[in-house]
Amino acid sequence: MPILTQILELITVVLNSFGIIALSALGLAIIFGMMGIINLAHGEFMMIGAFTTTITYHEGVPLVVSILLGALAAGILGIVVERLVIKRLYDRVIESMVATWGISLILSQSVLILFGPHLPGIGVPFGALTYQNYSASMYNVVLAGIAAVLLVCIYGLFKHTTFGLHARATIQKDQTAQALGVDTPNVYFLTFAIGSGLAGLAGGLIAPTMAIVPTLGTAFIIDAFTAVIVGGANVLIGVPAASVSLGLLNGVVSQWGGSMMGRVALLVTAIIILRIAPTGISGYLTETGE
Amino acid sequence: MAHMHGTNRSRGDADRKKSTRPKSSRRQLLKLAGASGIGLMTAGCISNVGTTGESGGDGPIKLGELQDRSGALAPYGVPKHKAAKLAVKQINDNGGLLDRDVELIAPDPQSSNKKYKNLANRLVLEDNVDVLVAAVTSSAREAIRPIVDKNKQLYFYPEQYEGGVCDEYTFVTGAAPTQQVRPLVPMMINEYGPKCYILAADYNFGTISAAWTRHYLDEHGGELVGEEFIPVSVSEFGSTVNRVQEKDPDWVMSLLVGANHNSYYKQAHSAGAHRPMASSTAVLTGFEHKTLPTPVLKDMYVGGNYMEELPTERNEKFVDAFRGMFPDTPYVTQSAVDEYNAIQYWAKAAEKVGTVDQQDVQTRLEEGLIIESPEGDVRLSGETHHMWHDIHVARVDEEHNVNLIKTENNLEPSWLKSKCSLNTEESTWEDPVTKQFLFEG
Amino acid sequence: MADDNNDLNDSDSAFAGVVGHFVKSEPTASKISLFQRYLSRFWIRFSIVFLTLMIYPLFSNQYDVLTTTGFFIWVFLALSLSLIWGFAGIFSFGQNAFFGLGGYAFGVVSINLIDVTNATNIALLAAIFVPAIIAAILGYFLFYGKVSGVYVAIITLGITLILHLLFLRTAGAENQIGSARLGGYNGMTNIPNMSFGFGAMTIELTPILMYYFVVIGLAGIYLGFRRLLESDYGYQLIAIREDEIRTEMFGYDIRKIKLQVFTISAGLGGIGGALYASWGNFISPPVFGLVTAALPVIWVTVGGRKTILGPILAAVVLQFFTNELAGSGSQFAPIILGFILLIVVLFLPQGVVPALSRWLRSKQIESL
Repeated sequence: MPILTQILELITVVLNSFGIIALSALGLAIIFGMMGIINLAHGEFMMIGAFTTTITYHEGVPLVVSILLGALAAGILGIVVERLVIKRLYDRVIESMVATWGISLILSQSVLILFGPHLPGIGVPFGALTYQNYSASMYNVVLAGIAAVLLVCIYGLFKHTTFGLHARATIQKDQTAQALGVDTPNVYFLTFAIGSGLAGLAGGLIAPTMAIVPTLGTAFIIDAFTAVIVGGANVLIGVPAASVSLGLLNGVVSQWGGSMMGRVALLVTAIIILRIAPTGISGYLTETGE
Repeated sequence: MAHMHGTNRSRGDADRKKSTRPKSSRRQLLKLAGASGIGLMTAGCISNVGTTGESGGDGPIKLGELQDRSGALAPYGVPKHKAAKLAVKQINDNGGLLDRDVELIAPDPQSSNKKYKNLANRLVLEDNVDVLVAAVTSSAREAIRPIVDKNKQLYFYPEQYEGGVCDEYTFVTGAAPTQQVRPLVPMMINEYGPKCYILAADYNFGTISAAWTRHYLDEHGGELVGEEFIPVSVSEFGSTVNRVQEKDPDWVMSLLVGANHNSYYKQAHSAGAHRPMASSTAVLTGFEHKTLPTPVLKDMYVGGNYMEELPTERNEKFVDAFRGMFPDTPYVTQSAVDEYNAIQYWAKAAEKVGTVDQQDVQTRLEEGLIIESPEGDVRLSGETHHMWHDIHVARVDEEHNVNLIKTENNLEPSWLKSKCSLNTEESTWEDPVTKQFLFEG
Repeated sequence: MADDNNDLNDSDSAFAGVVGHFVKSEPTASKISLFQRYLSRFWIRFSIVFLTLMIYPLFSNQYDVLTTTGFFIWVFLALSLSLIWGFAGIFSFGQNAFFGLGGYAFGVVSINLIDVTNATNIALLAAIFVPAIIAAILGYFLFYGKVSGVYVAIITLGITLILHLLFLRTAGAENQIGSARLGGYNGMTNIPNMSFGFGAMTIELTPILMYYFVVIGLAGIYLGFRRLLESDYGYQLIAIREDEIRTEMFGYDIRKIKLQVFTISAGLGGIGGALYASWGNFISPPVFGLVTAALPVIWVTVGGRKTILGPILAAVVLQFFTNELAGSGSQFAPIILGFILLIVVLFLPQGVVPALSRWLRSKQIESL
């Protein structure tokens, strides 16, 4: 019996890591994969989502709706940032990093000034999953499920809609796509909005498990980056592959060696993978003919 | 200290003529930048900043303060800065110190050690502050302590920490594990049983506090069933919660620190892995009971030298004054009172000797001094420069009310006693001891 | 001095340089005199700035000298990134790792040897070689593994973040190297001041000497960079930045060149780290953190990455400015800094220094 408990423990930990990594990486990956822009304010977009969710929830809005409002708020903010800043920085990857770093400073300090260093948190919904004397948080399992569903939705969006077709054409050859009548600036615009919205959604979803502070995003950004880089530029292959493999790795290692070892394992693996496949897993798979 | 070669400027007398060269430096640096063709960019902005420290001869007494109001440590720094403002306002409202106003010079080090260094240099060398009150973390304190020692700057470190600083110029007003952890361990063993699981932040404060916890567990017949050190950047506790369940302790000692770690309480509770907890870090410093949803902190026992709920008249007056000045304060924290105590000590010593000369004030402090703090009447040890504290133990209930259970009066900062004697010939103003001992358990 | 090296940095002239390596063409007479005029103008400007810096301590107080020294020390990190990224086009987002390693290496060696050798000569060497050797190993993996572009950035960032985690864990007594404690989160303390010489013939760098040491060191490195850029090797670096494949086609071993310049840049960062550790008698793990990693990137971008002067000025001015903002105690400081970064990136795409020099030149033309 203890073996069964141990397996159960491992499964919940791995699901937990997978859910968190996939959720926090998705928005970043879409923006990086489609636009080549590394959004250093990604963690702050998550934070905006989490703050919006928390504030609206305490105003009496049901949790599901307030999580969606979190996504909406971050999405709108993404639209503003795209129009004012990012639009002028296409093809200037490094400058876009400096600019988004500036945005992250502005966002986290503004939130600190407006809402103070702490917000009262939200309780974790759904209670515990119990098996004999072992129990785990139901919500973590739900998060992993939502992450999986989101991955499928994004796959559908990019593979089976006109927007997806235009977006994929734009990544492959943007000038050709433009010549064929694709409104590429609009594709970039929508991509950034969707990416920011997904960051906000992730923040909202994670909010119930977290202490709500303006620096909340920084806890996720390194894992998110690792996942995106390990995954490579192709979001559709990269994010699922990276979040599953890194989630598994992080879960197993931290279960046996503690959270510190989990952290180190994540970063070391990322470096080794990049040594083998310099353009990430998706790049490797594409080159070797899938 | 063989290698500390600073320029030992003679410091001190408040009535001494202030530097006669006011602020020429900034303009020079600007000119310099201008010569290289870039001054234009910043000239407009700079003329508006840096209005501090321009007072001349008989101006106000200068109290330098460094506490973080932005960055990751802002949740701890902001209440401390408020406490300093309150303390200074109270002094000035009562006619000032030695009939002079006290000016609070408080730049924001933004949770960065690099800024701590630069700003400490500025307060000490340029503003010539009469006393320095600074730092939340030990790391920031260690960053500025070389500056303090080189320049013989009277310095207060106003925060609980791992213990061990033995420094001629440094006074510590926060409590150490020998004070905060000591009453908690036997109480938890009596209440819930011997089996303890330690969760600690993975840095000096956490590891040393954990070592003290093990020490007291041994002393009182407790049993350590598990121990885990968690990096401060971690906010996912899935595997930790599993391990706690696996080891099934009677209670958990939480030495977790910072906003990321607070997620543990939520995650443990939602996983059904809630255990009775003891902590020297939670609730009193970061008011987690106000920011985490009920009832995740149920049966959390906290030990500390101050809590807002203390039912004394003096404390109620203090809390009213604090909330009067800062109405949207969620909780009056122990760190805030540590800061308040530091300023009280300094002001009282200065009053007693009739000057703010740093050496005279330091000597008076070393003779031992009792202040009427909101936490009780507390005493400073001249020997170790630490405080005897009244340690209050409280239990957090299902509604997250903090209920005082007992108070242990006058707990000594005992560990340093055998190692550190700053009020003897071993350490003098001119030939000081400036060390930190580390407890290895 | 403001117009720096722009002419050398256009890709075409870089290639002209590389090609010139094969086809030696004689410069015309008028070109020589123009060049000489440019040179002498440069030396006049350089001397003015250098002398200003030399007499600056006479007109300022101890705080200003200390703080300015502190700002200048971080310029080594800016120059380290400028070399690897500005000239060779390799974007390292973890250049601070070498700065930090240099600082810790200096701390460990100097604490252990100060009582034996009475000076920190060996410690400074260690601060150069430890990061350089680590960079050489890492660079071998990166450049011979054909990792490039943004992936180099992420690997180097990953390395520095791992170092951050590891150094945070060094609180215990088991992490004592000789008599030096790494100190974990609290940092390494009691690092001695920098000193040179042997036995009784030792000069210790007091704050004022430290200032001169740093200023002369920076001036030397600045001149060295200029020389480097006018050399064949410099042309090769710029050629790699502008077009790797074309450069390889010309027969250059770009992997080797990249590895060399990465190693040198790490050594340069290491010197900065050593200076930093001895300046504050202290170093702590945040030197490896994300915030520190972003600093040199910001400086080099804001100053203009294709110039030498840009990163230097941006590092000094931005540090000065953020320090003043922090000193004002305003809670809006990070917000103001954020907006400055946005404005520079959006409106001065080449960086501040090239924009300024273009503006100055247009003024000159107008006045003619």
